[in-house]
Formats: sequence, C-alpha cells, structure tokens
Amino acid sequence: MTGNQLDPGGWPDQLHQFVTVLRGNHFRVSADEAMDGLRAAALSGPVYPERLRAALRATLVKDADQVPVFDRLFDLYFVSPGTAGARGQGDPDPANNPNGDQGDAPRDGYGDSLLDGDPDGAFGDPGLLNAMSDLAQQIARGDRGAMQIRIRQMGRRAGVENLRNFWQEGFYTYRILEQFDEEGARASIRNAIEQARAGGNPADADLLQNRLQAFEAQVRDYVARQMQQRDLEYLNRFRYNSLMDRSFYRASQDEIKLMREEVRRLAQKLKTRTTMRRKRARRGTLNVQETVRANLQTGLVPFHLKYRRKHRNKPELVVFFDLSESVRAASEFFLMFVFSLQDLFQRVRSFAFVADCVEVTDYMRTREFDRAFEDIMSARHINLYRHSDYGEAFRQFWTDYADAVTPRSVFIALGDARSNYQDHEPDLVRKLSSRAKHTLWLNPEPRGSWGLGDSVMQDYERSFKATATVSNLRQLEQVVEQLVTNL
Amino acid sequence: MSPMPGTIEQHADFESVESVSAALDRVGYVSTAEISTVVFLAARMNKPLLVEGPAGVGKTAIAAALNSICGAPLIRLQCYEGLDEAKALYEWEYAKQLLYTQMLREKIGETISQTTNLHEAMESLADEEAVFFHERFLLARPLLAAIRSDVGSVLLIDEVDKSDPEFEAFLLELLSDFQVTVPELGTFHAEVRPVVVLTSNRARELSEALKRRCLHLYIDFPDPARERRIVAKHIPDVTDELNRQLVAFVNGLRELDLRKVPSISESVDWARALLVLNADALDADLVRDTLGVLVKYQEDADIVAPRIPEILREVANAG
Repeated sequence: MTGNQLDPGGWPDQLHQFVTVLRGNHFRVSADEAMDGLRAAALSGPVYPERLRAALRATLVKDADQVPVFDRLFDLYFVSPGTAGARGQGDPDPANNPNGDQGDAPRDGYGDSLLDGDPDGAFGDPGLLNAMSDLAQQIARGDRGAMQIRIRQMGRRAGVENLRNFWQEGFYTYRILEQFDEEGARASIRNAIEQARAGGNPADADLLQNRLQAFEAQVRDYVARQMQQRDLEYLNRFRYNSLMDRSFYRASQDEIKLMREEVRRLAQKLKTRTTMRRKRARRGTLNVQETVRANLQTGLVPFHLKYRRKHRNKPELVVFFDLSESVRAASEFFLMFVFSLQDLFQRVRSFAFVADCVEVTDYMRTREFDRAFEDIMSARHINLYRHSDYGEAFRQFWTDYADAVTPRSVFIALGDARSNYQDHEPDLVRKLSSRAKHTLWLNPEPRGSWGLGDSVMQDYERSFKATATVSNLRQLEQVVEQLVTNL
Repeated sequence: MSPMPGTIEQHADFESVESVSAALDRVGYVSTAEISTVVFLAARMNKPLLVEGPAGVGKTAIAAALNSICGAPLIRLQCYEGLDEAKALYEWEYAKQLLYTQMLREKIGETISQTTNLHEAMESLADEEAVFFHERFLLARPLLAAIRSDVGSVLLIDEVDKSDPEFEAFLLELLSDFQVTVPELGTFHAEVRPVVVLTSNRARELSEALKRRCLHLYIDFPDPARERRIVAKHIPDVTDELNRQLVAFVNGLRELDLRKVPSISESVDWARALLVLNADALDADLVRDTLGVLVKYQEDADIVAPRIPEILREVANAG
C-alpha cells in the first residue's frame, strides 16, 4: 500500500518536529518524554501507523482530554490524506488478530522505491525511465509514498519550518521544487516527455505529464499541510486568550460553548485547590485522649500522634440573581461556577428574579447544570418578559425568604441594578445586607456606567461590603477564587 | 507454558507486539492493538504503566493478566484518602520490638554488666543497635514487598487518584529509581524491577511529574465486537445471539444519561445471570427482572425502566 509517509531514516528528526508541533498545541512534552517517544516508536515497529500512534500517545500525551487533538495532529503529520479517513477499517495490524489469521502485509510504501525501471508496466516504452535518476523515476512511477519522504527531506532543506503565513505557501512550494531541480528531477522528466513525443509515443508523454503535475500538486499539498498544523496552534492560543477576556454579551454561539467548557475546567481547578488547602488548615492541637488510645500497644510511648480537627463552619451562600435579558449571560456563567462549587459551601440557596423573586435552590440539585438552568428559566412564577424591578424583587425576597440571610451567610447579588426608575428600596437592602456575614454585588456593567441613567448601583454599593464587575471569564474567575479562598 | 520469573524484558512473551497480543489472549484478556502495543512498550522500556478510563473497563485486569503471563506475584496497593507511607511502604512492629526487648532483658543486663559507667553502657548497647532495628521487625507493606521480591513482581497501585497529592509525590522516588530508603537499615534496591501498573478513574488530575514517569494508556468502553469477545471469554456457554443482544442492549444503556453506566463487568455479570435463568433471548420482562445487575441506582432504574421496549426494538432491528 502506498501513501505511507513514515520515513525510517529520518526518525529522530521527524519525531522532534512532531513534538514541536505538539508543544505548539499546548501539549506539555518534556525532553524525557520526547526521548521515550523515540524509543517507543523504534520498539513498536514504525511500519504500522496504528502502533506508532499508540506508542506516541502512550509516551507523549498524558491527558485523556487531549487525545482527540493528538489524533488530529497525528493524522495531519503521519497519515497521508487518502488514508486518514480509512483508519480502523482496513487495519492491517496482525496484533488485532490474535487468533492467528494473518493480516495484510505491513505498509511499506518506501519498499517500492528500491525497485528499478517500470515494474508496473504502465509505460509503452519501459526504457524511457531507465535513463532517469532515481528521484525522477520515483516521480515518473507516481510513487506517492516514496515521494512524500523525499518532499519531507527537501522541505527540511528548504526550511519549511519557518513558514508562518499562508501567503508564504507559494514561496516555500517554489523553494522545495527548487531543491528537487538541483538534482535535475523535473528536467529529466521534461526531457523524457519531449523524447516520448518525438518518438511517436504520446500516451507515455501524457502519463509522464500527469505524474509530473501530480508531483507538483503533492508538494503544494505538503506545504499547505505544514501551514495547517501551524494554524491550529496559532488559532488555539489566540482563542484561549481572547476567550478569557471576551465579554459575555459579545460572544458568538461557538465561543459561548467554549466558555462553558472553560468554566467547568476552572471550577474543577478551584475545587481541588480549595479542598486541599482546607484540609491542611484543619489540623488542630494535639488530642491527648486519642493519642493515648492509639499508643496503648506500644506501652504509651507515643509513636502515633493524633490531632484534633479544627471545626470550621463552611459558609452558607445566598445567591440572588437577575434573569432579565440584559444580565442573563453573566448570571448563567456565575451560576455555573456556583453549581460546580456547591460542595465547598455548607448550603447554597439560590433566588432568581426579574421582578418577581422565586427560590430555585431545588433545581440546582440535579446532576447537570444545563438541565438545572433550563429548569430555572422555565420556572413558573418568573415572568421573563417583565421589566426588571429591583425594588419589587427585594420586597418579595424580604417578605418570603428573609430568614435565608443569617449572620453566617454570604449574600451575593448579581444584576445590573437598572430598576427602570421604579422605587429600588435602598433602606430595605441596607437592612438585608446588615444581617449577612458578608455581602457582594456583581455587576456586568463597567464601573464607569454605575449610577448613570436608571442605574441605582451607587445606592446599593453603599450597603454592600464588596462590589465587582463581571463581564468576562477572567473577572468571574477572580471573583469566585477570592470567594472560595477567603471564606 | 510454565511461568518463568525473571526480568520481564527478557520474557519470551514480550518479544514483540504480536507475542504480547497472543499472550494476553491466552490468559483471557481481550486486547486491542493499542493496549497490546502499550503493554509491550511498558515491559520493554521498563516503565510504569498508568491506565486511565471509566470504572469497569478492565484497567485492573491488565495487571492480573500480566501476573498470569509472567508468573511473578501480583502485589496490590489499594489507594484511598489518607493512605500514608506506614500503610504503603513499611512499618516497624513496635509491639514485637518491645516484646523482644523485654524478653532479652537479662541478656541486655549481661551485656552492660561489664561496663563501669553510663557512657560505656551506652556505647556497648549502641554496638548491638542492629538487634533492635532488624529486618525481622520490619513489616513490609506492598511497595516494599514489591521491591524486595527477588523473583520480581507485578505491582498494582490501584486508583491512585484517590490518594492524597502528598502520597503521589512520595511515589515518584519509587517509580523512577525503584528503590526505597529505610533510615535505620539503608536503601533497598529492586533486584528484579517490578512491573508497575497504576490505575486511575480521574477523580482528580494526577500531577505532571507522576505522568511524566509513566506510559499512559486510556481505555474507554470497548466497541460491541470486542465486548462480545470479552463476554464469550468469561462465559463460554452464552450463545452468540444472546451475546449479541445483551451487548447491544448494554451499549444502548450507555447512551442514556445515567449516574453510573454499566461497564464490562456488568455485561459479564448479566450474561451469567441470563444463563442461570436459561434465557436464550432478551424480552422486556426478563430485562426488567434482571435490571438490578446492570443498573445500581434507583434513579437510574427509573430512567431505564420506561425505555426498555424501545432499546429492545433497536437491538432487534440491529440484528
């Protein structure tokens, strides 16, 4: 089978390049691991692409989440376009058939290149090829597998790793072809074409012409694929950075999806860090009673020390968030954090409002946030189409759920504090926040517009111990991190 | 073939990917090209193998299979929160030490009777110090046992993600140098390096340092063909048709949003249960009665129960 691009001679080089590509795509590959990869590739027998894939994956990729990206890069790098899609169907690897039935022969595309002349008998005049150099013969035979190896070599010589922009593709294609020309490859084929034409052998001439064009296309394709690899790397880096700073309100559907994944990841990170820290902080003074009991068998010689555990009250969280159109995105992302971090708090009570205020704590007890948020959005008693009315919401909260706020609770309000010129109940809010241990107002609007127009943020700001702007992931992460670490 | 203890790199069954594949098959582990390749590499490169994947896809079974292939004893360390060196590595048997000291009191008296002052007594006791910290008082826990085994061993460190990060850091010395230091006795080197298999359910992310020292293998739920082979391997009496149906049904369940999706071990258990009930095909009542084998939570059962006919229909159509 042709189309194989594994070059047994250039291994260290080729793998080194692949590792560079991986590193560019956020894979953390240490020098040790790269060495392991090389050893593994050599041991596993590089003629089987799927074994090579397994060997490199085991040594270079240690995170299961990165496997899909690795597979894509592996396909781009090691598997030629024609065979990439056929993966898993015609797997020739005999290790898949332990019952003894023999699989196909290994893919040794480069074996062909050792043959001389015209083994396929495709040409009317086989002598046509004999006059050519090896390189030209490979082109003339249309041996894509062997060509790919040569193109790779020439690419290295032409410095294709410096390719940065797509408009350089033409230049590098030219440079690589130039390398081939130095060995007279294309010239000798052109000669052969003229010779065939002159010799009254137009079929051979056409075939050679086609093969030459196919070869040139293959070079172009190779350069384009180099660009693709680099692009992927660039795109990902760019996307991550901009994602963190992207406003919730200007994000596209795709970006929102990526953001959700990011929130999940950030929340997980915060959770691990916080539980570890809390566990460490909980060790208290020596517990004499327990220590005596544990050391009875050693005749009270204290080999094992037992400590008292500090009893720490996890804080209670009361989340009061605006669901109206203008704030919904920020609410959703914040709620997502709260959802993932519920375990870190003694208790979380959530209240949604537009004008009417409803407790939605129970919805947050399902296993998936998406479902929880859907339930919250479709909760009866919240009319999503009303204008937000902060006064009304706080009044209802005060009458129905005032007992939720206790001296142990952290009260967090999320909203833009735009009350549509209704009475916004500043005194009630002051009374409410003075009951809580800590109060925090999160506003998706930048500080500069607080208090402008119908915003009553300046009044609420006075009653709240802390305020912050949250309009992107970076800000949100900071706020949540402070919240879980300081409480 | 008789098991032959010795270094695994020289073991005939680890000569090539094909031989690993055949050996795994022989001991009843249905492998894939990827699993065979990585197991082969772990053996030949003498590196610990870190296996990740959902519960019940045969992570631990790899260690058991290696144990059957190379004949070295399987030593298992189950990780849990709060696992420490004393439980994993070694412990001094204080009680035994005290007992010996008590019983040897007379001999100790004799030893120091020749001395004239406290200092001399101390010195002569110090000469005998080795008596108090002798290997016979050392209680070898799994890690030390694996290092000290002179016929080699297969060391399974199960669910390493459940241990504390501190313990993970402590594992690093062991995994890179295969040696363990006991301050009173010195350093133990592994005469024959143990074959190390670590498993993780990804309850938390493992440290980069640990991952760097291991070869990484991710095993997911198998495709139906492989799962059928696994079931047939464990329950040879199951008919092909029943096997096909039950595997297809279990695969249908994995599509649902369950708290705990059935794993391979559940498929095998179910096959066994169906065989005991003399079933040769699935029907709705049969599935309902045996659902407890597949689904372990009431809330999951509530999700599955109404869908049984629908999944069965798909199973029938696929056949």
